Amino acid sequence: MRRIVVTVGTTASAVALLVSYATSTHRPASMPGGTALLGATAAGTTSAAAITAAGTPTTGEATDEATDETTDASTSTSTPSATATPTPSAKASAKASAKASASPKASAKASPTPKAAVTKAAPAGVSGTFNGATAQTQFGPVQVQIVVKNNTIVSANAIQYPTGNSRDVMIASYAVPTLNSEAVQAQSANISMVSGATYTSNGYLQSLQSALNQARL
Amino acid sequence: MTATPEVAAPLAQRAWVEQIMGMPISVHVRGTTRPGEVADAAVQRVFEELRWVDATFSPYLEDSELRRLQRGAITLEQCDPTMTQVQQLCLTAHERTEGYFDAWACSDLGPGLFDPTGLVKSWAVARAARHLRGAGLDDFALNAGGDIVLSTADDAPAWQIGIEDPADTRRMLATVPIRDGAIATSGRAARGAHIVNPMTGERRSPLAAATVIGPSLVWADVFATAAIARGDSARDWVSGLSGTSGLLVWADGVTHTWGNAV
Repeated sequence: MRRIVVTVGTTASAVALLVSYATSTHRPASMPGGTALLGATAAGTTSAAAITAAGTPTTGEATDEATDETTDASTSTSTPSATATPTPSAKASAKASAKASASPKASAKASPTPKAAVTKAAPAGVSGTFNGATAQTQFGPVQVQIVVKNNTIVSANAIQYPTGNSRDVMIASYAVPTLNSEAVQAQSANISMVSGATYTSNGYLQSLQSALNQARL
Repeated sequence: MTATPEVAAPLAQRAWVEQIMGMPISVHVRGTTRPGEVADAAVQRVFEELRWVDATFSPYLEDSELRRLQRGAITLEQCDPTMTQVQQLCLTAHERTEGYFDAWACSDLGPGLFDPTGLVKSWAVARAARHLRGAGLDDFALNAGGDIVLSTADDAPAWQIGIEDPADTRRMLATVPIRDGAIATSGRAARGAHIVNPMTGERRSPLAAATVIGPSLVWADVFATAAIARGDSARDWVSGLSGTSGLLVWADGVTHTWGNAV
């Protein structure tokens, strides 16, 4: 899942900068369901310049728990470090060390938020949940929430995202199933496992067993 | 089925299976870059978490949090925070499927009752996969009753996934290579016509099966379920699911495949 990891890095760097711009409060997680799925990728390479402001800490609960297949990546290999003060309109600083090449600093300059300020020294041990401002992207609005623990971003989630499925934009398209029964039969020895709706049926168990058998397990 | 870990010899592939949430869940790990004990421990964490999810979200266990919530014995705030997440996810799914995935219209236990069962399985499995990644495993498949999360190492071949023929589950209708992502199939084969069209209450669908491939197991699952609920109009609807591909199979054997650019 390297692509996702890299994307997380990209997003986190953008988010970290977002955090440094404190603004008015956002209603916390009006659609936090997105947290679990759209993960950290939604805002990743969208136009950073479109992001206007961010950085209000919320008392929203347990975004930690919202980790899923994507957010987990943010805690693994490419976790950027960030620092911020979790107070509205406070000064904050953010340092993002992301692998990705995205350079969101341009967006920082584009921010119209008058209260925003960047400092080079950050208070130690910052923790909290921060909602970024909603950014308009070519795919629709994106809002990212991060959780910071002890100066480290432990998760970054899109809590609002375009209905056009922007997360998918980040990931290569998927192969179309090959519908050819003869080819399928010929390839069957190479099939790893089977997707089907028969998960409670004997048919599925048979499929599973045959897959295990093919794998010599 | 019980866990059947292989011996820790340097096999090219190992698999574990347990029956959780009423279905066989198998973990397949390829490659030998990580010590066997690491994979063992990670897989056990996966199973442990899924058992916890089952105990918490089961609609069949009267003392599950979900059942107590449905009965009004506890409030959402008293539930584990994941209950709130799942509920919000269901709201999102409702929105993204234009109402065809409706966790408030599918419970047999009462009208309007919140029942996220159609989403919990894939949510839990996708979430549990983090234990594998966290252990440094990058070449695995986590298969929950035919809905599968996949990850492929850089130097490894893609997983080849067969798609079952709903008319004859002993046959495969198609194959698809997947490196990183997920595949989910919904249909009427598993439990009869269990997917309700929330718009009409209709339980029959002209579609026999819908398979969706994409980056997220939950959304693949939700979209596949919504496609069944939609019926014929799913053909047009799936063309808007960017970054996904898949296969629709009508009861009369007609098929439709799609692959949407991101």
